[in-house]
Amino acid sequence: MPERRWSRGPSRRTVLKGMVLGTGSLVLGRFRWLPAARAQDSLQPSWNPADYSYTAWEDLYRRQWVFDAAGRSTHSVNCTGSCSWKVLVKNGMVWRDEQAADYPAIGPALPDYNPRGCQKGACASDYQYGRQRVKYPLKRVGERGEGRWQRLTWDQALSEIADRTLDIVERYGPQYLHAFTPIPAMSPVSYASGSRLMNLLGGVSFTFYDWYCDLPPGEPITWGVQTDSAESADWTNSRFIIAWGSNVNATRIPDAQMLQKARLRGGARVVVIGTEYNPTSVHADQFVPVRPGSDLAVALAMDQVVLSEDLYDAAYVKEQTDLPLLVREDDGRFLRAVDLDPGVANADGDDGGGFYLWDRRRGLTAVPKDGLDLGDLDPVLDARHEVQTAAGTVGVTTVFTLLQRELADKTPEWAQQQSGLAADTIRELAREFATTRPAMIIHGNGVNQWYHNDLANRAMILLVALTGNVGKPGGGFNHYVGQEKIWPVAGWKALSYPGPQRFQNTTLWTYWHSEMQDVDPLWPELKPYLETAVEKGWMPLWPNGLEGEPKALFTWRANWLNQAKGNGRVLAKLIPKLDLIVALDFRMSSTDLYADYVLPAATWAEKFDLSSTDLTSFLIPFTPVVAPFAEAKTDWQAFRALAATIELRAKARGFTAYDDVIDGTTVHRDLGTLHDQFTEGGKLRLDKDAAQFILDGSEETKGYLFDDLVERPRRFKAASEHWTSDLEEGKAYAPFQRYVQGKRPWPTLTGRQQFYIDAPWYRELGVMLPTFKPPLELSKHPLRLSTPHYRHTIHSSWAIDLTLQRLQWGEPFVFLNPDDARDRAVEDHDWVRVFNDNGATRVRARVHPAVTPGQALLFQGWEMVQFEGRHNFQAPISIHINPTQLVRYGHLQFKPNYWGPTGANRDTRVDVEKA
Amino acid sequence: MPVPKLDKDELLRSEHQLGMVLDLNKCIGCQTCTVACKTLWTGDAGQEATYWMNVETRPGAGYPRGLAAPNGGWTPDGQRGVRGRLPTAEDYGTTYRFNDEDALFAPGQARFAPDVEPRWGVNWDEDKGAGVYPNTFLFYLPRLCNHCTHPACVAACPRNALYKRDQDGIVLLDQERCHGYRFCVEACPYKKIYWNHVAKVSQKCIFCYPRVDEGIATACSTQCVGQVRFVGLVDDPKSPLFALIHTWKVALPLLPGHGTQPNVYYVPPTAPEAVDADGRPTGKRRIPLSYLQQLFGDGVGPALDTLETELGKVRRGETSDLMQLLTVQRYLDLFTLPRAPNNDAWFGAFAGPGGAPHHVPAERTPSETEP
Amino acid sequence: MQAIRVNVDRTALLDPSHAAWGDAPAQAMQLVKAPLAMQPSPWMQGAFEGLAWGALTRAELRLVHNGEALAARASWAVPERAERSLGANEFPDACAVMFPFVRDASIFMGAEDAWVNMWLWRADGHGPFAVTAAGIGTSQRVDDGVLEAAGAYRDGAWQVVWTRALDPGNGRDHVPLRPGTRWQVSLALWHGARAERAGIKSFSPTWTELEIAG
Repeated sequence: MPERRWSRGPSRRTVLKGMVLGTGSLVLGRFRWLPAARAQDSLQPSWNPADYSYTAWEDLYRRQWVFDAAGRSTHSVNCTGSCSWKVLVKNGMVWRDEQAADYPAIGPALPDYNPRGCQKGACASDYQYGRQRVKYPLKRVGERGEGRWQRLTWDQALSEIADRTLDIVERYGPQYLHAFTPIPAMSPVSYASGSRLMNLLGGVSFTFYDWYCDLPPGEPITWGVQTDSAESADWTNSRFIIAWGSNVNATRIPDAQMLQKARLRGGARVVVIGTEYNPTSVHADQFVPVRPGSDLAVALAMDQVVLSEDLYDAAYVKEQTDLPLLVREDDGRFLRAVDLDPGVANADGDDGGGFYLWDRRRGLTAVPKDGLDLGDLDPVLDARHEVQTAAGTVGVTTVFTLLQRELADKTPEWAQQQSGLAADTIRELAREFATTRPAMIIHGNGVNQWYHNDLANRAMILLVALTGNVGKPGGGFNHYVGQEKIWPVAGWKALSYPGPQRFQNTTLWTYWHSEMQDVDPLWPELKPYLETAVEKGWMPLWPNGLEGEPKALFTWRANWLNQAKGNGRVLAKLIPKLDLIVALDFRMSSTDLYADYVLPAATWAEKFDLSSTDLTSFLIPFTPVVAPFAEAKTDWQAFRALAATIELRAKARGFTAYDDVIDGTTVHRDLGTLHDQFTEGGKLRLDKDAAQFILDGSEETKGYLFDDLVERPRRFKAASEHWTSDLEEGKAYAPFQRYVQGKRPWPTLTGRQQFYIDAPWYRELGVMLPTFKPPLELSKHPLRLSTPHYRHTIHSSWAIDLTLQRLQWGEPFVFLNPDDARDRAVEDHDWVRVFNDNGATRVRARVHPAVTPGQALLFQGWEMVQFEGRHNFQAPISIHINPTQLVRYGHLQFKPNYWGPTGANRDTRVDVEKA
Repeated sequence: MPVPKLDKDELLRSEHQLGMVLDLNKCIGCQTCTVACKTLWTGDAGQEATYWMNVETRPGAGYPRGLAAPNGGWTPDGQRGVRGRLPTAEDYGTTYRFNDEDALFAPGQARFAPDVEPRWGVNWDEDKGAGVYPNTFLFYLPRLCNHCTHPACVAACPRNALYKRDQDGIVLLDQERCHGYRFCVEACPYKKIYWNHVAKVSQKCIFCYPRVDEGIATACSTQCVGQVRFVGLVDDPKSPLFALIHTWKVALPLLPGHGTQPNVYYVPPTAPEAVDADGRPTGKRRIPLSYLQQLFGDGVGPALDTLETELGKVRRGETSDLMQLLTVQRYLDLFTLPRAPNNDAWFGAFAGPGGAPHHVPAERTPSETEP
Repeated sequence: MQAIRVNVDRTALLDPSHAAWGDAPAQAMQLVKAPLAMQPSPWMQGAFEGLAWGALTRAELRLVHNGEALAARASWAVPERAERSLGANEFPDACAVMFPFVRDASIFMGAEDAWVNMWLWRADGHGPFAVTAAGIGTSQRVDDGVLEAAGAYRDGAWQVVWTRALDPGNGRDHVPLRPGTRWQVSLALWHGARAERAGIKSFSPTWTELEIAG
C-alpha cells in the first residue's frame, strides 16, 4: 500500500512553526514535517518522517470491521427475551452477534423495544465453534457419566436408537417412551420435532412450567388461566409498580429499560419487595426488605388494610370476583343450585347448576352465567342469611365476609412479626397501592419458589383484584418467570401433537420414580393425597401409575438432569431405571454426560425456527446464517431421520402395527408409514415448512410468510382464545380485558376471579381462601437457602462459557452476609460446604453486605461438572409436593403446563462451614 | 544540543469532540457493553486482561484493582504530569482458562475448573457494594476511555504514538508507532490503556471509529440494552449531550480532579432511601454524597437535586423536559453522530432471501473512509 | 576502542562465552542517567521529575569482526534480572549499541540531519531490533532479519552478543562499517526491574572512538 499522507495537508500552525524554527529543526506533528537538508554522506533512510501519516495505521481496525454477510436469528433459551439478533459472518464462519435493534414501535405513545438483547446473546457465538460443541453422534461405552464415548455415524446411531425404542414399545408399550423438552415459545419447530415423533409413536410429553416452579398456581386457581401478563411496554402505563420477589434488572434484562421508562418518564413509583438488596433495588424508589418466605404474610396484611379501611373498589369486586358469592356455613361449600333443587340441570357438575349472591333488592339471586354484566343487580358484599335448602335451613354468608374474618388477625402488626417489616410501612404500601391507579405487581420466583406459592400468589392477586387493577392497562399481577406462553399456539400444537397425546407432570414423575417419598419428611401427610390423585386419574403418572418404571427418556434443547431438584437422588434412583437415554444438543451438558446417545444438534444460527415471548407482542425468526457445523443436524431433521429409521427397522422386524388407547380413544398406529406421517405426506420435510405450518395454523400469525419475519420483527395480527385480551393497534397488550372490559365470564368454576376454592381437599387443608401458612421447617439448619437466577446465565446456558466466566469468579459461589460469615470464620473466597441432610455442595464463599442475614444465596444453573463430586446447587434441595396442586376441581384439571404440582425449592434450610 | 521542539499541541487539538453521556440510573450491570466490545476488538492472544469497556460495581476496587487511588493525570492546575502506577498482573487478575475437553468429553470425571486459582478479575466485586444491610448501597459504573480534551496519555508518549483525531477528538494509539513504553499507561488516571503482552504494544479504546465513520455509533452504546448511553458531539449546542452537560448540568465527568477533561460524562445515580432496622424509609440518602463527590466532583449534589426535582414533576403528572430527554421514546435518538447516521443500512439490515451479502467487501482503502 | 579481526564463524560468535571474546580488548563504558529534560513528553517532565534511574553506570563492550560480519558483546552486572514483560508493570532488561550515520551525530538519538543506527536486545525475547532514528521519539525498527543477537545471564551479569554483516548493503537502514576505518560507538542500558525503558535509561554521554581493524 502506498504511503498515504494526511489528506488535510499541513496546518498553518505547522508551516508557520517550521518557518520560524528554520530548517534545522524538527516539528513532530500529525501533519507534514518540514523537509530538512540531510547533512550525511548521501545516505537516505528508508523512511521519511516528513511523510508520516497517522491515517495509514488506522486501516488496521478498519480491516477488522468487515464481514461478508449478516443473518437474522435469535437464541432458544428460556429467558423470556426473544430478542432479534444479527449474526455476522466472516469467511463463511460466524464471527459475532449484535442486536438487530429494529423492532418497530407499537405506536406513537409507547417507547420501542430496542435494542433488546443481553450480554449472553452478545457472546452466543462462543457456542458455535467452541470446545463444548457436540460435533458428531456419540454412544456411551462406559458407565453413565463416566465420559467414555464412541463416535458413530448418524446411520449407526439412529439405527441403534430405533431398535432400542422398538424393543421398549414392543415389550412394554409406547407409554414407556418419555420425552422432555421445554418451552415451545423459544423455538416451536424444534420443540415440535421430537414431540411430533413421540406423538406418532404414543410416547409421553413432559411438562416444564410447573416443574421449573415457574407456574404460579394462584393464576389457574383464581383465574382459570395458565398465566397471562402484560407485555413490558405496558409498564409505562403504570403509576405504581411493586417488583415483588422479581429481580427484573437481572432476569428481564431486555425489558429493564421499560421499568426505568415507567419510572423516570411515566412517573411510576417503583418499589422492590425482597430479601437481599438486589440489582433491581439499586434503581428503585423504595427498597422493602422482608425475611425470606414472608411475602405471603405481607400480602395478606396489605389485603387486610385494603379491606378494613374500605379502600377496595366495591363495584369492581362485585362484578368481577366471587366475593359476593354465598357460601354455606355448615360445610363451607358454595351454595349451589343443586342444594336448593336436586333436580336442577347439571346437578352433577362441579358447579352444581350454578351459584348465588344476595342482591340488595331481590335477596337470594342466581349469579348470571352468560356474562359478568350485573345489569341492575347490586350484590351485597357483607351479608349473612338463612336459606332453605332441600335438606333444611342453612346459614350462608359471602366470600367477602369469610375473607374479612380470615384476614381479621392478619394485621400489619402481625405481618411485622413474620417479616421483620414495620407495620406502618406495610400499611402505607397498601394504602398507596389502593389509591394509585393503575398499580401493578411484577411477581417473581422470590415468591413463587416457596412451597405455599399458591397462597402467596392468591394473596397478591387478591390485592390487585380488590383494588380493581386486574384487566387494566398498567395494572394487575404480572408474572414473567418462564417463557411458557407461545403466541402462535394453535399451529404449534397441531404440529407437535397431530393425534391424541399423553402428558406428564414432571414434578410428580421425578418425585415418584426417584423414590423421593423415602427421604421426604412430608411424605406421611402427602401420601393419601398423592395416591388418590394418581388412582383417580387426576394427575397422570406414566408409564403405569404408582406401579410402573420408565424405560426411555428422550431429551433435547434442555439440561433436565442439571436442573432437577434433588438430582443426586435422581441419579441414584431414577436414571438406573431407564434402559435408554437419548439427548440431542449442540453443547455437551451435564445431562448429556449421563445419556446413552448424544446426537449433535444445530445451533441457533444454523436453523429455521420461530420465537415469541409474553414480554413483547412481536414474532421473530431463526434463520440458518451458516450451515450446521460438523455433523450437526437441526432438531427437525434429526427427528425426521429418526422417524425414517424407526420405520425402516420396524418393517425389518415385522412390527409395524399396534393399537394404542389414549383417554378412551383408540389410535391405530402404523409404523410402516411413520416418516410420511411425520412429514404429512412430504409437506413438512423442511424446517422452514414446519415454521410456515405454525404461522398458517395460528390466528396470531395467519397471513405472514416466514420471510416477512426475516425482513423485520412483526407484530401479531390478533390474540386467539389462548389470550385474555384482544390485541389492539397502537396499544400494548395487557391481559384480562375480555373479562374486565368485555364482561365475559372468567374461565373458572364460578365464572369470576375466584378467591374461594371449595374443593374438599382445600377445606381439609384450610386453604379455601388465601390464608397464612408459614414456610416449611424441614430441618433446624440456621440459614435459608435461596437459589435465584443469575444475570450471567440462562439457567445452565452460558454457565461454563469462557467469556462470561471471566466476568465472574471462574467457580461457583454462595453469597453470605458478613455476620453469618464471621460466625463461621469464613472469609471471602474460602471454600465452603453448603449442606443439610439432603446433601452438600462445595463452593466458594462470597461475603456480601447486600445479602440478608440468615440467608445463603446460591445461584442456580451451574453445571454439575463444575462441582466436586458433581454435587451441584441442587444437592441440598429436594422435591416437596403440595397437595393443593394435585387436586381436580372445576377449572383445576391437569392440562400440561397449566395445572400440576410445582417444583418448589426455597423452603430449604442449610448450614455453611469451611471446607 | 537542543531538543527538537515537538508540536504536541497539534496532536492534542481537535476541531470537534465526540463524547458520551451515561445515565447511571439505567445501568443494570448486565455487562452487555463489555461483551460487545470484547467480542469485536480484543479477543486476541495477549489481550486476555484487556477490557476497553468494562462495568464496575461501585463502591468497589475497580479494574484494574487499585484504581480508586489517585493515579496519574495532571496536577489540579493541569500543568504538571502526575506519575501513575503501573498495574501488576494481579491487579488485572488471573485470566484463567478451562479444561472443557477433559471435563466434558474425556473419562475421569474431571471437574470443570480454572487452570489457575482466580484471585481477582474484571468484575470480581460485582454486586458487593458497601454499607450494612439493609442499607447497603451500590451502583454500576461503565468505564471506557474518556477521549479526554487534555489527555495525559497523548502528552506522555515520547514517540507521539497517541493523538486526537482532528475531526472528532477520538484519542487513538498508533499501533505501528507504539514501542510499548507504557508511559501512557502510567499517565492515564483511568487506566484505560492496556498492555498487550504478546504484541508488546499498548492498546486502547478506539471509539469504534470504523463504525463512527460510517455513521454507526460505538458497539458499547448501540448494544447497550438498558438504553444508558447518549453518543454525539459534546461541543454541539444542538446535541442532547450538550443539554445534559451544560444546560441541565446533570452529566458530570468522572474523577475530574485528574485534570484530563474527560468527554465521557455520567448522570449520577439516585437510590432508594435508607431504611431503619424494620424497613421503614428514613428519608436519608442511601448513597453518601461524599462518595459520589469523590467520583464526580462538587457538581453531583446540585445534579442530584435537579434529578429529584424533575422526577418529582413527573410523579405529579407534570412534564419534565429533562426526563423526556433522558428517557428517549425512540432508541435511535440516543445517537447523534456528526456523520449522517447510517441507521437503515445497519439496524436490522440483512441479506435478503437471495442470500446476497449485504455489507461492504472485505478490502477497503482509506480513501473511502475519509470524513 | 578497537574491533579486532578474528577468524571465527558469525554463528559461533553469537555465543557470549566463545573463546574469541576473551581475545577482544574490552572497553569500559561509563554510563550516566539519561536526562529527563530531553524527553519530548510534557507529561513526563512533571511526572518523572526528581525520580531516580540510570543506576547501571558500568558496562564493558567488545567488538570483533571476521571480514564479513561484525559482532559486539556487551556485559553488565545487574543483581535482579528481568526477563519478562507479561504484566503491565514488567519491563525486561535491555541493552543497545549505537552507531552514528554521520560522524558526531547527536548522542541523543541523532537529529533530522544526522541519523543514528542502533542494535537493541531485550531479555524478554522480543527482537532483536535494528533501529534507525533522527532524534528522540523518532526511532523506527528495521524488520529485515539482518541483525541477530543472543543473551546469557551468568554470575549476576548479562552478556549479550549481536552480529550483523559488516555492510548489509542497505545503507539506509544499516550504517555500513568497513574494515580499516574509524567510526564511533556508544551504549545504553535499561534496568528492567526498575521499569526502565525508552529514555528512562543509562547511556554513554559521548561517542567512543572505534577503530575497525583491517
